[in-house]
Order: sequence, then structure tokens, then C-alpha cells
Amino acid sequence: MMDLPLEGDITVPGAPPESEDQLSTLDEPIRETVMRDLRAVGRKFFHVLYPKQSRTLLRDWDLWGPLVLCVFLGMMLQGSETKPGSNDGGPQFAQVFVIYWVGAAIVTLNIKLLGGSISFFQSICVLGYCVLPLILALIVCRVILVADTQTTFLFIIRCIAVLAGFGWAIFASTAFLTESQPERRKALALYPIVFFYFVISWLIISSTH
Amino acid sequence: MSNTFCNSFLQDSPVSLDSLQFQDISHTAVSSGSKEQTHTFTDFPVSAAHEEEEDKADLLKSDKPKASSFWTFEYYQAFFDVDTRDVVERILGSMVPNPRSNYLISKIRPNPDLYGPFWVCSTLVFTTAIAGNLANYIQSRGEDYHWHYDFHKVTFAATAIFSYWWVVATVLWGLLRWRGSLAGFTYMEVICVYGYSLAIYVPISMLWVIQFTWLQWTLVIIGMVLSGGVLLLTFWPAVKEDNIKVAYSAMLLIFLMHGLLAVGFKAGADTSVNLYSVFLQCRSSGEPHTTPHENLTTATTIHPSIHAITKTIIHTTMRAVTGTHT
Repeated sequence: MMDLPLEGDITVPGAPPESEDQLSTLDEPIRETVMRDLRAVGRKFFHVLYPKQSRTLLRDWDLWGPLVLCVFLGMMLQGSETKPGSNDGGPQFAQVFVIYWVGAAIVTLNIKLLGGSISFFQSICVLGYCVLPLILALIVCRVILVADTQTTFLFIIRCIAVLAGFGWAIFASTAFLTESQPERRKALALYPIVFFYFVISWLIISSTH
Repeated sequence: MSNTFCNSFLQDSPVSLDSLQFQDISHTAVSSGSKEQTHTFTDFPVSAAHEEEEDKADLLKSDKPKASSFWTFEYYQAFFDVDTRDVVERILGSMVPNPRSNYLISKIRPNPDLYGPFWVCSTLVFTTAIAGNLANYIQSRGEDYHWHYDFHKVTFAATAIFSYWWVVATVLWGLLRWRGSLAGFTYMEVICVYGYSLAIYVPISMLWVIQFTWLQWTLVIIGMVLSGGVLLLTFWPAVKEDNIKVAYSAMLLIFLMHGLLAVGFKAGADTSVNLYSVFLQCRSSGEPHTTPHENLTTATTIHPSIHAITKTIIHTTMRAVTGTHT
């Protein structure tokens, strides 16, 4: 018996030729893979800025956005060790990192222990993404700090910017996180979120270099 | 487990298979000898199952959820089974000593929670740190102030406050157990009361920003008296049947530890102000400042080691207590 070499496509004649491409994303250009994730992250940022009750933020959670925000926050808040021991700086990068993630984890644990129906990573995703308004406030503060003389008026502007970011972050995150709690416990679930964003706002407002 | 026992009884009894069919048996009908109609545990020999039933009834009475294992999530969920109203009531109750009703019995039982104590302690850690920062800022206004963020202080305060909460409460509970206290306060209840008793220090630490020494000391004393009073009134019924000396020394211990914490706050708040003021003096004079607190110079040139901080705390406390100012 001769072995016949088999060749050819195993396609049904007449079937749409793209069906095989849709199943495997291995052949698509890298740009498309990256753009898909970037689009998802961008969509979530948009949802944070205009918080409407939407299931997509909760269903397709990802931690890219929180990681980017955390790294940015840590880099900007980092104190410079120009004079060792002078304490003339802010928190170290690792301290910001720990506060951010451990804080989000503790707030999430609290929500779950109070009987919330949201999953662990969904909650961390929402808490992380909602730091975005505070990052915008941080950028505003940095721009203001570029000026040479720091007057009280500029300080007040910075305070207002951080307060606005703080309020926005709380508003955005509660739109997603507290509706899973019964009414009589909403304040209990809300307080740690307020506390978490307050600590981050304090880090932002107290960084002056 | 009850089903297997019932089944074994059904197999042993010499009754026909008809009795295994569903029958419309009323709860009051108990025919003699037909064991398959009895669904209560009283027909069982006294065994481990019986003991467990008794234990379960006791546990349900005291509402301890030992039914879930220590390693499951539901075990801890039982300690967060509070509403907003409960938490607010407990916080307010911990600030106002009420001799007529025992705080623990009226407010905490039967539902001790960990939500309140944990978040009260966390809030306290950050308000002391923030108040310290603000006090620095206010004290050094007008100079070229670089607002610094002393993370060491936050971790130190966190360790101190959380260990006060857990360690002192555990020691007290151990003491009550050792003396065989009849009040029957459980571990979680003691932890809960101690956590809530720190709630009064949150507004006090925020008011410490105001830099009047007499005001700060008045606030400390008010806090000590109020929440210390709540603690004393709560735990007095647990020790009053004991030997009178033991009872009074337990009360004294509670009050002293509470007072130490308050003084520790004051010293901690003063430390940051003190360190920074000496640092500013050094910077303006341009040389190590030879003050009576000579060891403080080491604290300003190197980053604040624990050694320097402890020395400063001791000196500041002594200075504050004796009322002298440099």
C-alpha cells in the first residue's frame, strides 16, 4: 500500500473563509492584540469618568488599569533622597504600592465580609480604576507646583483640586460597589472606601517637591 | 447524621416494609414500641451525638458560630453581622459611661463584631499621623517648610494601637478566666469592647492640632476619664465577686493602661513636633545644636532610628509632665 501524501485545506466549499481566523487569535497582528486590551482599559477609564451603572466594568475585570495608575502614583509621589535623613520627601515607591494594593484588598475584604455579592477581583478592579480622578488631581498639583513661589492661594487651589478628585473617586466607586449591600449596611461598606481614598488624597496633597 | 440513626432503627425493628412508606404521622402520636415513629433524640442512648446536641444548643444560646470551621469565610462573616445603626450606637455608648446599664451586656451581646474595632483603630492610626503632620506644618509656618511625610510614625502608631487593642484585651480576658469570673464574658466580647473604647481618641487626636498645651492635656484627661470609665463600669461586675484586692488591682490596671495609651499619643504627637523643631533650629544655626537634649542631635543628622525616637519620647514625656519648656 502506497502512502498517499495528503494535501489541501479541510474546508467545506462555500463556507465563509474567515471562520477559522476568528477562532484563533494567534495569527492576528500584535498591534490588534495590544489594542484590544488597551481599548478595554480605555473603556473602563471612560466609565470611571462618567460613572453610569454598567455591567461591563464588573464583568470583564482586569488589573492593567490599576497597575498603571499605581506605578504612576508611586513614581510621582516618590520622595527624593537628596539629604539622607532629612525626611524631606514623600513615601517610598514601595510604600505607595503597599498602601494601594493592601488598602484595596482590605476594603474588598470588608465589603465581602459585610455580605456583598461582588467578587474579590471585581472589587479590586473597581477600586483601582476609581483612583483615576485622584491621579488627575495629582497632575494638576504638579503643574501648580512648578511655579516658583508657593502662595496660600495656590495651596488652596491644590486643595480644591484634590478634594474634587476625592469626591469624584468616591462617587464613581460607590456607583459600582455599594448597590450589592442591603440598605441598612450601605454606610458601613461606604466608610472604608472613603477612608482609602482619603489616605491616598492625603499622600497627594502632602507631596510638595 | 440523624437520618443514619433513624435508618438503623428502621432496619432493626421487626416491622414490615409498609411502615417505610410515607405516613401521615402527627407530631403528638407516639405508639409504644414502634421506634420508627419517634423522631426525637430522647430515644437514643446518651452518646457523643447527644453531647453535641447539647453543645449546639448552648452555642446557639450564646450565638457563637462555631458551626463553621475556623478556616472558612463564613466564620469571619459572623463577626461583621452588624448594621450601621448598631455600630453608631456602640461607638456612642463607648464614649459615655452609664452606670445604670452595662455597656457589654446591653450593646455588644449577643453579637460582638470586629468591624467597629478594626476601623476605629485604623482611623485612629491615620488621624494621629495626620494630626502630627498638621501640627508640624502649623508650628513651622512662615519658614521654608518642606512638608515631610514620616512613614515611620505611621507604622509605629499602627503597631502601638493595634497591639494595645489585642494584647491588653487578651491579657484582661486571660485574667478573668484565670480568676474564674462568673460574668462569662467571651473573648470576642472583650476584644470588641476594647476596640470601641478607643473611639473617643479619634476626635481628640484631631483636636490636638490646636497647639495649646493646656487644651491638649485637658482633652487627654477627658478621653481617659470617659472611655476609661466605660471600661471600668463594664468590667467591674466581672471582678467584684473576687478577692477585693484582685478586683481593685484589675480596675487599676485597666485604667492605667488606658491612661498610658493616652499619654503615649501625646508623647507621639509631641515627638514629631519636637524632632522637627530641633531640626529647624539645627538648619538655621548651621551646626549641631548643643541643647540639654544632646542626644537629639543624633536624631537630626541621621534618619530617625528607633533609638532616637524612644529617647525623644522619654524626654518629651518627662518634659511635658514636669511642665518645662525649652
